[in-house]
Amino acid sequence: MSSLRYNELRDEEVAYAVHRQDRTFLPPEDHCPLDPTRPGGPATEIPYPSFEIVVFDNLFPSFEAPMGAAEVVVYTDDHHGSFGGLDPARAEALMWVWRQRYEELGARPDVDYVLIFENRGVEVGTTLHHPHGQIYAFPFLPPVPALELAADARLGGCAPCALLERELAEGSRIVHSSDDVVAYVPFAARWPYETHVVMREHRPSLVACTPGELASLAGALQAVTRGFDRLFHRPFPYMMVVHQAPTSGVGSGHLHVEFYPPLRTATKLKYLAGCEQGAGTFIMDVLPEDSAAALAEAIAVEHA
Amino acid sequence: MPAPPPSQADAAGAREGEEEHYGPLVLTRIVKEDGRSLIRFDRVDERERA
Repeated sequence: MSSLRYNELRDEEVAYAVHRQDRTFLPPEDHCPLDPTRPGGPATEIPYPSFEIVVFDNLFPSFEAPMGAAEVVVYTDDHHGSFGGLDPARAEALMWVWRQRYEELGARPDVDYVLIFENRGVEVGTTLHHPHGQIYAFPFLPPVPALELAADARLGGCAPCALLERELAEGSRIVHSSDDVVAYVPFAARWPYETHVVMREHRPSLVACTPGELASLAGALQAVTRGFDRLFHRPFPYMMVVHQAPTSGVGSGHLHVEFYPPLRTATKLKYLAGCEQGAGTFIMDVLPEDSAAALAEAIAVEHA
Repeated sequence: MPAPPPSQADAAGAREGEEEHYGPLVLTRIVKEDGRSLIRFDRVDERERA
């Protein structure tokens, strides 16, 4: 059972889930727990010989009822796939899965915030290579979404709406856009290729989106991730995080997806070291305009 | 190849539940032997083609 401790000095909760120390770590391919259970093969987490998308309770949860939840979202039964390589209709279906989980988990009285995310690559700590993401249902409002609500208050309205307007006016950091969605490297990016994929209309969550917007969001997310892979001609590690309104009813939100990729070159990582950890100030080696130009070119290749 | 419908799947070690519809998806919920929940999501159009 995980537990929370309040860190007075930082004014934040810390979750202790010591059972996670023994979680499955980079198993051999023929023992992947996220593969389907094939006839004659080993039993996995998923008792079907094939499947499209499956969500299940994490065996090693960071949060669990009655204080939240932790779920695994398996995108495909193909062990060697990736989010960017999913069939577009499957990626669109995944948006509906995210929407359903946000709605159902968010309705629980012990859940204040639903965090949907994917860690891709060993550089960001993934322990299973099979294409999958995770959902943490928090029993409290975590610091980052709380900062976003504070930005809303500071700007006197929806901060992502205001920032999107600025990015569209300036234009130099936009890497991809459609009628429904805009992707850009933000003005003050904290990672070399940090990218935000933002709904043009003010949509607090996936639940407020039209079916067409969900399809557009899936397409934009896939375009960005495939562009990442082309940047350095290698699978590009990233953290992909869906930002939505808190489900506790406190404050609003604006659906957007943020990517935090740790690579600054094909072989060099951006580390969160003394200054970032001790002072909270990110020191960047790349200007957002330059990384945006490179990423936009990499994304545009497939649309040329 | 489209996935077979859950009713044809080998759900050994799990109780199979009722199907629900959500947007373009069919949900099938099961509870695994250790008590953990699992939801299978299939696209309606794929189910119809299967």
